[in-house]
Amino acid sequence: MSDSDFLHAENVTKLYGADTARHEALRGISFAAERGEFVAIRGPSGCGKSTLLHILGAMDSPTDGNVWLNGRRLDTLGLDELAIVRRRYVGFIFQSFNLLPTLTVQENVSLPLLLDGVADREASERSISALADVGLQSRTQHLPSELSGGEMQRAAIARALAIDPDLVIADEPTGSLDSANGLRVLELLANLNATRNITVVMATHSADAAAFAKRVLHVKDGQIEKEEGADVLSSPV
Amino acid sequence: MSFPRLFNQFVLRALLREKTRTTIAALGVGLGVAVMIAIRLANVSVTETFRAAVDSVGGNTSLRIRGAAGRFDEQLFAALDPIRSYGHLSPVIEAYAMVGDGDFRSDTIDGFPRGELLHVLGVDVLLDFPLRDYEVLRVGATEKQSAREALRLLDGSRSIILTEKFLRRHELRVGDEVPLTFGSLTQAFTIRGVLLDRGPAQTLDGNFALMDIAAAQLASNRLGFLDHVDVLLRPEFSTEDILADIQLALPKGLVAELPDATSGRADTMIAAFQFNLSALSAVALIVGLFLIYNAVAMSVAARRAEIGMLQAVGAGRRMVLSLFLTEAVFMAVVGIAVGLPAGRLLGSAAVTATAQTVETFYIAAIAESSASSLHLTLTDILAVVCIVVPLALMAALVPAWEAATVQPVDAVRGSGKRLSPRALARAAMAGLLSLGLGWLLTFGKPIGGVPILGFLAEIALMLGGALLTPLALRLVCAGVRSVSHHLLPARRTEIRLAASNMEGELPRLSVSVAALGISLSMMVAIAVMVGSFRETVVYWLDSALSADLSIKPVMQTSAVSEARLSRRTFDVVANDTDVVDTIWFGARQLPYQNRNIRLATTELEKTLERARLIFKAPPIEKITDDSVVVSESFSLLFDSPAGTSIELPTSKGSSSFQIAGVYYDYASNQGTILMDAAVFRQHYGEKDPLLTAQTLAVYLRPEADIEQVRSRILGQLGPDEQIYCVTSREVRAEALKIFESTFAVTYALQFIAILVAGMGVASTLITLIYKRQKDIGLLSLIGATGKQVRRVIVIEAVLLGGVSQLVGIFIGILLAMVLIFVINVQSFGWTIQFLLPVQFIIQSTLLVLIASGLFGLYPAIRAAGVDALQTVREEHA
Amino acid sequence: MLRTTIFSLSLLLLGGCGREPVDTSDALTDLFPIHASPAAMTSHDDWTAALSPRAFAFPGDHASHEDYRIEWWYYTGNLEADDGSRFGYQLTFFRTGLNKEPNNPSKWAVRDLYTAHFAISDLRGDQHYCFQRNSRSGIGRAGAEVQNYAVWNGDWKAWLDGENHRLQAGESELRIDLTLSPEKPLVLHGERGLSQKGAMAGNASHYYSFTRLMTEGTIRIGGKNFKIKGRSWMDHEFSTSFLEPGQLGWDWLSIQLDNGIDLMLYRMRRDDGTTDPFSSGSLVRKDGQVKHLSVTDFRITPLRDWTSSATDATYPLDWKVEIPGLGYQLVITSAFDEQEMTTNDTTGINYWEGAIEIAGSSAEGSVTGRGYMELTGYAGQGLGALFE
Repeated sequence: MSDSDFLHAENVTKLYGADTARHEALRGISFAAERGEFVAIRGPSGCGKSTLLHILGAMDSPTDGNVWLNGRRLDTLGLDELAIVRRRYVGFIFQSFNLLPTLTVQENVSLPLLLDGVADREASERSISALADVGLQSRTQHLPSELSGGEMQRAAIARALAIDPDLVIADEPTGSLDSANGLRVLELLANLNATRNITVVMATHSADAAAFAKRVLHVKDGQIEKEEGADVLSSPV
Repeated sequence: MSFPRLFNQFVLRALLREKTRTTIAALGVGLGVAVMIAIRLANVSVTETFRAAVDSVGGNTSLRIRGAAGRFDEQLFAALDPIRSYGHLSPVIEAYAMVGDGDFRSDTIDGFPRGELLHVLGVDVLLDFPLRDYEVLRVGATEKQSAREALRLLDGSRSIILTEKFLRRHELRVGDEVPLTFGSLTQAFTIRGVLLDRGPAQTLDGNFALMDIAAAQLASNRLGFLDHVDVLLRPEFSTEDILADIQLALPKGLVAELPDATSGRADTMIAAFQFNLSALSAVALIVGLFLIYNAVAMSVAARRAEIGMLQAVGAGRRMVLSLFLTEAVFMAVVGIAVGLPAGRLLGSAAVTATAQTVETFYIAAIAESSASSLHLTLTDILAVVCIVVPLALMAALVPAWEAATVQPVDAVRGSGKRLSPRALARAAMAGLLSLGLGWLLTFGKPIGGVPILGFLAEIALMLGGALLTPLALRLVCAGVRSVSHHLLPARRTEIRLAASNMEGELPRLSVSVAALGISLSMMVAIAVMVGSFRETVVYWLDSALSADLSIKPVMQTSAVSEARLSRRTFDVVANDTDVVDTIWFGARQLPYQNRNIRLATTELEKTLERARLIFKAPPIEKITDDSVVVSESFSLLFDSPAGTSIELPTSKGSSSFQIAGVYYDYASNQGTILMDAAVFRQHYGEKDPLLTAQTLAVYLRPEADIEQVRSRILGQLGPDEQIYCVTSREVRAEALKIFESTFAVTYALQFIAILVAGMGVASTLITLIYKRQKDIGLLSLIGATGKQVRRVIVIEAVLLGGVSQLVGIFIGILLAMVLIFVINVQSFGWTIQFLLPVQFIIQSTLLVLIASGLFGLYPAIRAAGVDALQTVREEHA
Repeated sequence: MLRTTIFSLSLLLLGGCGREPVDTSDALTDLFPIHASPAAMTSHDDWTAALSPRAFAFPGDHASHEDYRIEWWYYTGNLEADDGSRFGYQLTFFRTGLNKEPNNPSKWAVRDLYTAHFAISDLRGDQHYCFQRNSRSGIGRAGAEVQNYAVWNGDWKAWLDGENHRLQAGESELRIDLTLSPEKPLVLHGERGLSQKGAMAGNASHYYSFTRLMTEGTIRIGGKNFKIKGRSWMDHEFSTSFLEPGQLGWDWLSIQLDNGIDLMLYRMRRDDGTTDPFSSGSLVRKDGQVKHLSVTDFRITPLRDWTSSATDATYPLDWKVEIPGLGYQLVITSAFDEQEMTTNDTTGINYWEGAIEIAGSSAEGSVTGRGYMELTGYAGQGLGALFE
């Protein structure tokens, strides 16, 4: 299996609902990303980009088609097996930061580790280190409600990093942030991608955000409309 | 948008969609209503049945003349002539008999049988008709009236008229004979007529018999005595105006009173019964209120998410508020509809269960007859509506207000608010103050014989417990979190998550836990009290039952009935070769101040010799002509310690007696005055029937075989003498059996409390899960397996139940102490040794934890089923 | 004598207490024996029957005869106050043995049932007041002495004071307190005091009367005491059984004529409308001599009917009495119509008993007089059935 097969989706279809209310979110999409790649997925609302992201991130299963992550076939896994894949290999960053409000920042960050059975001490060290990586070392004992939006998103990134993921799935990570904070988050992501060889797949409808990716897929009506290479993107607009 | 349309779209449809939550909430309200109504019905019904029995037998009587010392010499009737100018007089014998043909004795080996009780009214049938509503008396099938047949009631001493209901139930006809046992003697009585189901015939569900006064005197062994004389005043006289005049005109030794006074005094007979029910009802009310509050509050809280939508479609705050309040009312109404019929059934069950526990089977008979006639009145329904609907509104108001004022940004950020340490401290402080207040209240004296301050103390303690709940919850959560890796290392993450979740919902959970804790505290309190009482009585029984055999008439003496052993029984026993000694004992009711007490007489010297009494206050040195010993309850009820003197009504008017000692007596809570037979004779006359033994304590030669003696005595007496002849061991066993059945009520209580705790936990969690769907989804998203999610919720359930039980035990023990040391002493005059039923507490705690865990399973399964993507998906909606 | 019926009727009080009975007898039939046996309430065998004339001894025989089942003392009279106000009165004490030897030592056990009737007719305003009592002896509540004559029912009583009879009775605001002195010796009816009532031996009573008792005393009525004088009649009769099937009711007259003659007449009516052959009478001359009248010696004919609005019963109130052998032709008129004894509120038994005026002629010339009349069996069922 080559590096180009690190994240691989083949002819993936996703149907929602049934009969007349049936909605075809994905219509036979194929996608592949190499380890360490930074891919952005763009498209209008409802185009299916989030669905694709969920399937790639082991959050959802396709109706049809095959998905591989680092050589593991995902489309045949059950819910609990997917959960284990997620907590070990996949980090998530969402538009709304999705921290558990009753846990401190550090508890939030170490939660996936603890759920996976990592020892308290190790989980603690790794989460502190991850928080330091995103510049939140001074906020570890705060509750999410005590943080600003940018800080919360950085905490979410730290949670994604703490597990030392193979893949980070980012769904509109800047959607709820002002441009300065958004920029900072994107830089963090790019930096992680570059320094740790983490594969990042990011859905966004912002061209500025997409500019951080090496490759951009345009999705429309559940199909890939076109694909732009890094060279195209880096050229001045 | 119009209100009905919105209501339909956002409330009704939502309720339909969330069938489980709706069902649980409605059932919660329903259960609360059911429990409330059940106890109310039971209480009201028993009281009413009892009063109806007294009233319908009383008939049109405007006032009643009785002896100052109760029953009086019939010769005094002739001295009532001056009263005749005021109205019509009718002398009355009121007695009770046991119905049965048989051999009650076959049961006596393994306990005391419960026969069917018949309330027998003996009147001068020539005089009594204006007084009582014997609406229709039939003595012949074809003729409407027949003088010849009716006169047969006067003919012979064993004629009786029974009610239509009774005859049908027993498939008897006029002319048949029915065996009745007054005292220990079973005799056949001939049925001479039928009373239709009206007036006094309705007493005790038809277990009423009419006899001529002469026959009644003979049957009940009251020759020469009257129980009372009923007076029907001429219409021109008003009872209130004339009472004093009549009082003056009465010969010495007789008093006149309103017929109510009798039932008032008699009410004390059902006090013990009602006490049990009241305890239940207090639990029921609080539990019911909690269930309703919780159900509605949680249901509304769960709908916060929909508020945004409502506001988006342009609904103002007021609209939102009224929508949710209407939803609350809607749920309350559904709950009431479910709860009312359920309460009716539960009420019957409660009465029947509690009936087992009472002293006399007269009350049991009343309770049973009332259990079959429980009915919901409009008042009951109105009362429930008036309690439940406002309560539901109140419960809905807070979450609905929150909902109406919710800001979108709050929803995005999540609440995550913890109760501030300051608020926590303030609540805890108030709680401690409340406990202190409760403690102070225990020093209060009873008001009008009712331990009102004691009950207030109980309320203060409960309030204190409730206020301390947030702190307890917080401490337990923190504690559990910090020791989780020691506790269950493999589950520490789930435990921590559960504890954090709970801390995050501290204000709301505090309400639930406090309410659960208080309902559990009732269970603990009653268990502690009953357990303590049981141990105390066992100790007393062991000392007081020194005789080898006890002999009693099968129709036992109780607060309402008197039964005596026949002379023959006495002789047979005394003459048995193995019998070395006997001590006889008799007791009857004596009106004293505003209640009835027990006047008992025995061979006091022998009693003391045999150490049959355990004294509380200075053992007596010498019994003089004017000294008596009194039971502890008398001493406490009338504030008469040893050494003081009391004025007792006697057949001569009244006499003063010295209290020589106070002894423990758990056989009756009425208050007993025990007099030596010689003293009794002197003050109440030689002829008083009380000087005939009611029970006989029998002492045997040490080498005698008890079983042999017993069968010899029974054999000699033959089948017409119906007596119990029981060993001390059997009496003890019987007493314990009564306690066991009291415990049955405790178990019922425990069951209800645990059921309620479980349901409370479930409904609380289900609601929290709705509220926390996003969080749960997130948990799953970052890799928690379904099993892990389920565990978190079950742990939360167990924690909820556990803290509730913790509060329950703490408050329960305090409540029990007040019950035992204050309320019980003030209302019953009993000293009970405080004893902690450790086993019960451990057992009930385990049960609560298990029940909470089990009830937590359903919300847990629902939580695990929450779509992990729900949270992220709706962002793009 | 036939007044007996009234007290017998009063036994009915036990059955109904006078309220409108609810007719549910059909629904109840299953509770009764299929063949209700009309057994007698007490066997007459226990009691002494009036089989032959008795050797009366007075004053002892005024007192109670406890061996006989039935006994009564019956006082009626016409009284006049100083101001001319006229009153009639009736005071009757009945004793009926129910159980000669009760097997119950209770004082309340009923050996005898004591019934009493008390009535006053106020001729000033044609008002009639009547009362009834039913008692057991109980604690001295009612009774009849066996040695020295005294009979009482509550505070209604009659006793002998020397030769005189004393009567006291009161109810509500009505009260009499009378002393009765015999103007003639007592009279034994029938055959030396044995008055045959039916064909069967033993269906008879011992029966004597004081037909003319000078009466003095007070009567309290309408809140006022009147000192009165007048004339009374007393009957004392005891037996064990007397009525026979088919005897429906009777008309009884006690007449005190101005010429010093007293007359007692009764007509027993049979249910077939005929006069029973055991109807009879007595005529007491001025000197106390008695002439027994058999059914063929006199004829009485109703002249005027009156219907009671209270009971709907129709009573013949005016009569023509003829004793052809002695030349008497009398017209009897009730002092006023409304003298019906109604006991609707207690027993439902009704009869007419009241003061009467007499006018007519004898062989010696015209006579007037006063008296009392009793009419039974006009309201309600056949009374004879009660005495099977």
